[in-house]
Amino acid sequence: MQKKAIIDVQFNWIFIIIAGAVILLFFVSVINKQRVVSDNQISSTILLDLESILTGAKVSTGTVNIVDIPKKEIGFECNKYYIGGTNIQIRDKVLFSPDVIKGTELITWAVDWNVPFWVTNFLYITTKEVRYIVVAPYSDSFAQEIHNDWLPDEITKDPIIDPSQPNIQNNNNYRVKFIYVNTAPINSHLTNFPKEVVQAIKIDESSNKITFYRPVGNAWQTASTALAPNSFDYIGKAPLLGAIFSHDNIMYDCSMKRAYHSLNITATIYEERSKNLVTTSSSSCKTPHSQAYQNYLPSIIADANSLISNTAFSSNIPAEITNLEQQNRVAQLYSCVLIY
Amino acid sequence: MKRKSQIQMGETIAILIIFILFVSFGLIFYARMMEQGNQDKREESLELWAVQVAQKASFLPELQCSEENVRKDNCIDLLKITKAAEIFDQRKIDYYYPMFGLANITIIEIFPNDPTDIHLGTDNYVELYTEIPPNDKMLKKESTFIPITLKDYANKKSYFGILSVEVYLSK
Repeated sequence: MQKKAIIDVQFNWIFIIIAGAVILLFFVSVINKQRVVSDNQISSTILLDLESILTGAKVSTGTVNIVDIPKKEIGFECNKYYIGGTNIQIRDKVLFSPDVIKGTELITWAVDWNVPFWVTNFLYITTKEVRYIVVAPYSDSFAQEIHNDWLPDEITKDPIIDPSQPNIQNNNNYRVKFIYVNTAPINSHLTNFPKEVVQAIKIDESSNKITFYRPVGNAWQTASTALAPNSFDYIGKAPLLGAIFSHDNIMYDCSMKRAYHSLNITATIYEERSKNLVTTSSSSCKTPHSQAYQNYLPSIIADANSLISNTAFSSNIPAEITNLEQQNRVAQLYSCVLIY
Repeated sequence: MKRKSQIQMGETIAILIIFILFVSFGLIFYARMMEQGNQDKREESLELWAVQVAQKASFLPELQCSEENVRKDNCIDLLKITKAAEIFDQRKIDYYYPMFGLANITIIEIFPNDPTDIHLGTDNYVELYTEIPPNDKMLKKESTFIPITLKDYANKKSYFGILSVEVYLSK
């Protein structure tokens, strides 16, 4: 009898231990799930706020906004930006940024893209922890214009470095972008930096070309063309700044495709507008509008289509911009309705 | 003794069942609260999204007035509207849906809105973009009305209108 009672008491304790462990496990799993849900909620709140900030920044050009953000890494890809497993689609934004944003301050800035009519606003995102180094001969006025006038003072940019300077000090930034203006990339600049941190572009003013480079071993090599071209013609200031702020050629190619879609649509609308104005205008006003809709705008539309399928296509758009500007001045001279 | 032990076991099991019942009630209540919280969050994001869509719609290069490439806020160029409406229709899925999602964007002439003097569409009214969820799937609608100038550059005249932007939340 006594032996049986002992077994009963032991079973009771075993039962309590097992039940207790199950209950404990259940609560631990609930807490863990809740932590994941809460993390996702925080990420989605940050991303939604960021989306509003970016939409606001996109419509107000020229102003640099510095936004305080929680210390979370924000990743950027071709079509989305994300925190952990939560992401938001970039949609229609023509956005240029490093692959990841770290730190507590986000710098946003928008510049309008005119071809020569306004097409869209390019949005640039960076942080003070990304370092931009312009390398060019001291006498290069284009490099000075980029460095002093185009790049905002709020970003971390070194004074212009002459190509004769062989070494550059590493300040432990998580990303460093070298911008070689009218000069070839210099391999010795890689010496002090870990390879995963650095990227480079070369801007050639005479040919209007931007080429993307990546470090391979101890030397700069043109970026891989497996997923996107590595060399592009730039049409104006906004795409050039896009190349400076883009992480690599793939992200640049992706955003430029979105910009060319907008160009195609906007140019089609201006083409139709000029076509309608030819029928209602006086004889002196017919010429600029007919020139625009018969020659220059169809050429821009055709080139935009080619650029959508191949962003490395050498377009005739810069010449057409000059022609359209000229025809717009003619329209202005005769007090006609302007082309744009 | 055997009976006593059985009663004790029964008690323990009863306590466990009651405990599990309480925890289940708690979990159901918590899940409901979470669901309501999520619903509130979705509605809040719809409000944010509505502001974004309204902002995007009022700054579209496809519609906005410009002179010497200087853009005019809250002004729509009547010479652009017909072609813009056509393009909105053609490029709805690949270009405009990612931009506006479930929304309805309409331009309405308010003044002078003379039926004998039509400047906009066939009824002084142009529906630029329409992607409305079916009624049984619609949860909420947010409307924004932006007063605009409708500028007729060809005849050098201006009219007054409204850019109506409706954004929908669906199940």
